Amino acid sequence: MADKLYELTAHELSDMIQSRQVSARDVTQSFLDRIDAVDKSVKAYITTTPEAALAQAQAVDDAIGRGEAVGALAGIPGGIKDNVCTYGVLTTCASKMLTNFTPVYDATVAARLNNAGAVMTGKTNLDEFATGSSTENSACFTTHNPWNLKMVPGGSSGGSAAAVAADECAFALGTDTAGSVRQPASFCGVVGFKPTYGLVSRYGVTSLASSLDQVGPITKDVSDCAMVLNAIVGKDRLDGVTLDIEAKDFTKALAKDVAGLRIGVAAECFGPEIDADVEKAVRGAIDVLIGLGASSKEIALPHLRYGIQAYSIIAAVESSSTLARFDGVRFGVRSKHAGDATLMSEKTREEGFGLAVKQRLILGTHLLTGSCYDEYFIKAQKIRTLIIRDFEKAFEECDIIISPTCPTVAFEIGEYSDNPLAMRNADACTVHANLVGIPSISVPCGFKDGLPIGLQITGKHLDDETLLRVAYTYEQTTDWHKRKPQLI
Amino acid sequence: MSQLTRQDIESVAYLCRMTLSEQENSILTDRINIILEDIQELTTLDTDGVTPTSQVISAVNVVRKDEVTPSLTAEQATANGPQVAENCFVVPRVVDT
Amino acid sequence: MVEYEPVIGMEVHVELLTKSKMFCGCEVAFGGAPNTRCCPGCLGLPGGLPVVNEKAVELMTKAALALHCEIAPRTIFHRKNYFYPDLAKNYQVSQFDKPLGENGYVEILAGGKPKKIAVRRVHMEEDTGKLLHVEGNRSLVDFNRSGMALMEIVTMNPPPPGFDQIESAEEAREYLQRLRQILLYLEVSDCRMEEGSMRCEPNISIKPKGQTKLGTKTEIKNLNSFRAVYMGVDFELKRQEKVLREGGKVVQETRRWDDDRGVTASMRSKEHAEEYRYYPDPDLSPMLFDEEYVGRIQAQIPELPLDRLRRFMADYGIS
Repeated sequence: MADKLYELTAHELSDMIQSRQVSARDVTQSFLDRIDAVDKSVKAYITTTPEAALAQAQAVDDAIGRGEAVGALAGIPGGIKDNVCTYGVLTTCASKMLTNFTPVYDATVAARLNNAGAVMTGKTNLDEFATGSSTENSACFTTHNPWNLKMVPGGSSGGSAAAVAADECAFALGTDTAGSVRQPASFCGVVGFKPTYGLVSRYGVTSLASSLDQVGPITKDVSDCAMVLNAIVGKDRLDGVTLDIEAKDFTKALAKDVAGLRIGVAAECFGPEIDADVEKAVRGAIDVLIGLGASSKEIALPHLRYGIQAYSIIAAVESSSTLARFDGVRFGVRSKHAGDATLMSEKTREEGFGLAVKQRLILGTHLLTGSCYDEYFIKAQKIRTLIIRDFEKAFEECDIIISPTCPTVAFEIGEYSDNPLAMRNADACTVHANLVGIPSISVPCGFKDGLPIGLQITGKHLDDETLLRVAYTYEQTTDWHKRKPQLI
Repeated sequence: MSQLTRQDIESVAYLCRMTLSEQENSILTDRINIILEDIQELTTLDTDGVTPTSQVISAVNVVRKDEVTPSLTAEQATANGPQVAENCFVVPRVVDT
Repeated sequence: MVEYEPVIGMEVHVELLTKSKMFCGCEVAFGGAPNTRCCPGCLGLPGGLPVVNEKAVELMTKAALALHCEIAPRTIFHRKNYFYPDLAKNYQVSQFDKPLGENGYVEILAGGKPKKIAVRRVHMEEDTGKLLHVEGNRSLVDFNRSGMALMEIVTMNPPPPGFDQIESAEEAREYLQRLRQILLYLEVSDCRMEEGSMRCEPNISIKPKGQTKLGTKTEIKNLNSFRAVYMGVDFELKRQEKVLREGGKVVQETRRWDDDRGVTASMRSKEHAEEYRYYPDPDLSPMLFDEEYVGRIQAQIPELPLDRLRRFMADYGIS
């Protein structure tokens, strides 16, 4: 077993480290070797930090050697999406703009992982500034799906999901603005969780759309998800919209129990865009839960179909100002073009941003001018309200809502790169949890043509534990999460 | 809504301080028009009396005490500066607009 | 000959006497080594976020109350979008359609007679960094000032019935001095014009006497003393009158006061109306002010200088 430590889950490794069966250093080395072996084909990492990782692991071993109590994540190797600032470690957001940006501060989530003793293996690939659903918009390179290297891993947290699926880390952090944690988790056959908005600090995370962004774990199973949540959740005085709630132990939610659970199923979540095999797998998963004592109920989410359009407006508007700071004045790659300060910024942004980012910035800026503000932006915010009401009403009749995470399994690299609307299908099932601010998790529930299918469980505001419990129950009853891609 | 022209895209690009190549302008003009046409559907929805949501957090009066916390050092603050002199960021001549 | 009457609006910015900045814990001070009082928030680095300084809100509420403003029961912050090298995020957190205070006034004595200069709004925002212009084709940027709590006070033209507007250079100076007196008294700001903790940008137009339609206005920048405010406004009024008498047209523009030469000079005409693309900042929650809060702040306001003078006059039967 010890020769394939990288295949183990974080909680298995944690038990072994705590009971001194293995050293944290051996665990880390195992993952570093694995990265060496497979990342040339998966390309999940933009930056790896092997020396720092081994030093962190050594510190954990030293602490254990001194008899000190260490946390559950101590010595566990994790990857961090490259839009999360990490002190002294290149943070590129997969943009040409930031190929030289080394933060002088840690994002709160990075600091919390560090404090928990987690070992950072490196920074994972994404669509530039989290704009995209396939990592094809990365200015660095496209990440490949470990299940089939011709396929995309999903996005924008594609590097994180692929790294976990390929055993290149025990867990990873992603960010989810419209499904960017759950969709790649679904495509890569791993667990991806978007917590209730405000549970996890956004400080130090390069913002795309402030009202939608949330950091979430990508893990090999639901138990690992709870473990990582324990380390990153909590009020942060540096992020004013983090919720002031008492510390929770999410691993307490890991019980195999869905008796009496009311599952909401909305016809709107099974529209014509959903692949028949995906639907079959998801309905099969619902049957599994019903077999364990849950019941299902048809619910109505009438405004769901407008979610993706409302999202595209809100995200464009918000990112038009959150990405305004990339002007070549204080950091980043400045254009060599000569001229005055205005031209310097204009050229810096022309040269530094990729087309997908530019598209979003132009759209967002346009939507704030003149009558567009009321016609589109306010309209989208009102539709956001209607969608929130839909979910409030639905949750009077059910405890959780089950749907596919994505309409399809992973698609081929290059398949949608020219169509500005086609790609958004990828977010069609996930975006609502961001608009409403509620928790949502994706767990593996089947395969089609050798590619994983994701089951999405969405819950009530601050009822993250119920999601974990349902996901855990399903996972413990099935073995989809135990399958591994054949990479070598 | 009328279609945006390449000139429109150019002036919006100026508002967000971004020059565009001819080719980018042409691609983006097409794409933005497709998106605008797509979101047009929303304008037909009746949302009278609905309050817009700009943030899902219902907390109000989130404040901090007026206490000084450590700042970055000047070296840290300017560590990523593309051009730095005298602990300041250097920018080309600023022409007031 | 046509007689002209001036219409003068005043936009005043005041830095607050807080220990830390408006949205982060960096120290507030004047001068010092550049970029030593900055953090990811006020430096606009990726991932920086704002959190409201309680004291700043308190001081601004106090000032708004002392200026007889109605305090909004619910106020929100907006992002004001524009690019400038000294604006770290390239948007300024400010207030737009729901400012902290509205519909107040400042009492001044104009030639011995009291006038109530109508105040349209008092709002909260953050300051920008500073451009230090150096020789040659470059500028240096220091962000120590970036994010300091700033209060904007704007007069209302035309004033509502029962209130007045500023109509001369003397009144402009008097308005500013009264405002300063109040803010100093409340210990809201040290109001040092030479250090920039009180900044004033008057906008000026003239129109034929009796005409209701306002003339084209110009805005004056770089007024760093009360004397400069007086001189600048006076110069601009005379300049505009001369332009009109010679059959010319006043151009809508920003003009810079040149203290050495005693003139205003065109900076650049405003060809495009400014498009700030305001929208509510999702990083900041709304501020709610209930009666209890407003009452508590009101109770902290001492008797203001002019009120005290009036009381003495009444007590001693002086008129």
